[in-house]
Amino acid sequence: MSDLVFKTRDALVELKNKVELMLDLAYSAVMLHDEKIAKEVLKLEEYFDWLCTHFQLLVLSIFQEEGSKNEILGLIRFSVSLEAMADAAARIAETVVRGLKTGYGLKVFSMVSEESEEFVSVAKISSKSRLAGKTLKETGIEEKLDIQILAVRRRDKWYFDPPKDFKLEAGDVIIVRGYAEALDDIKREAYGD
Amino acid sequence: MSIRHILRKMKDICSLMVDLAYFAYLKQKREISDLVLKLESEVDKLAYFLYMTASLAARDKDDAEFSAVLIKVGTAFNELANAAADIADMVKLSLSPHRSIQEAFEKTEETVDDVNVEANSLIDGKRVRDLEKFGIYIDIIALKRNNSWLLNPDRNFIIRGGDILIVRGNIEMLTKMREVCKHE
Repeated sequence: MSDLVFKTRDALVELKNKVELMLDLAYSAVMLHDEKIAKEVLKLEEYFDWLCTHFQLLVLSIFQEEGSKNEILGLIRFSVSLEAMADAAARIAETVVRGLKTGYGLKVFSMVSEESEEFVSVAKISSKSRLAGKTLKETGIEEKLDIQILAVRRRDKWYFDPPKDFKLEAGDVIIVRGYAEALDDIKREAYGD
Repeated sequence: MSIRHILRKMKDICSLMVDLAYFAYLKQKREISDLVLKLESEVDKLAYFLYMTASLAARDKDDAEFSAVLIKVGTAFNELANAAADIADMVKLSLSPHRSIQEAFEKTEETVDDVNVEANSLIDGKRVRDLEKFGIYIDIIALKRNNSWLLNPDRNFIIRGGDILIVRGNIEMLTKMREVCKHE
């Protein structure tokens, strides 16, 4: 496979992951009524637009090497659709930045979330938790509970989409995506039960 | 229909639509593409209901602010549905997937696939929740029986031979799933 096709593939993976992250963060921002998370989504949206343009240029350059017209147009349309999804995430996050009254977001999202569904939740790492002082990889918690840690707040700083070697500390607040049962488990683990 | 019902339905349908659209495009499944387009018009209808209900619900400034949030979120769901429909629509327009996109999706942890349930297979006559007894943890996002589609069958739904399931899960689980759906 040519280098350009590899690059295209990797760019696609990034686009798709970013859209998913943005939607999850947008829901979290509204639920927690957190302006910083909302602003991160808006920032990601700008970055996404750039990423998309970069991707589309890449696609046009593979056309010279391989791929039919139909396939190339398919790739471009696909990225345009992902961009529309990223815009939707930004629109949700905007409700927070525009000064949505505390409580309204939660009210809207309690309307749409159900116990059986995958959703986002918050947990605080206590000093007696076995998660404190370990990297995400060492805890193995994401694999064990089939959850995804979307963001970590440490004092006043946010770390979004933390890498596997990110070390959790006591006092960290984590935003997690997963099924209701797993979300209860992670809260227990974070509390140190 | 209450606002709660409308919003929940919109969100449920939208998240399914995105997965179904990816699947339809990657595997060039005309039938699934049609399903996504049908769902899109359903989301349109729901959005219209939502706008009406939210407008009628506002009696004072506070209510109006809440309605504004509802409408904004509903609009975002509608945009998601439109984006999914555009992806699904590519099947009809014969815009085939380039191999870079096939490979991009192979790199993700969870995939979506269709499985035919054969008569007298282990799963024939079992409930959705019984899958866990076989050590299978997957989501059945849609099911086709007698030419009609059912979305998100609940845990007590009984699976029958002849059903076509659209499932989401990791490769290992999908392989296991295919085994129990085969007639032995």
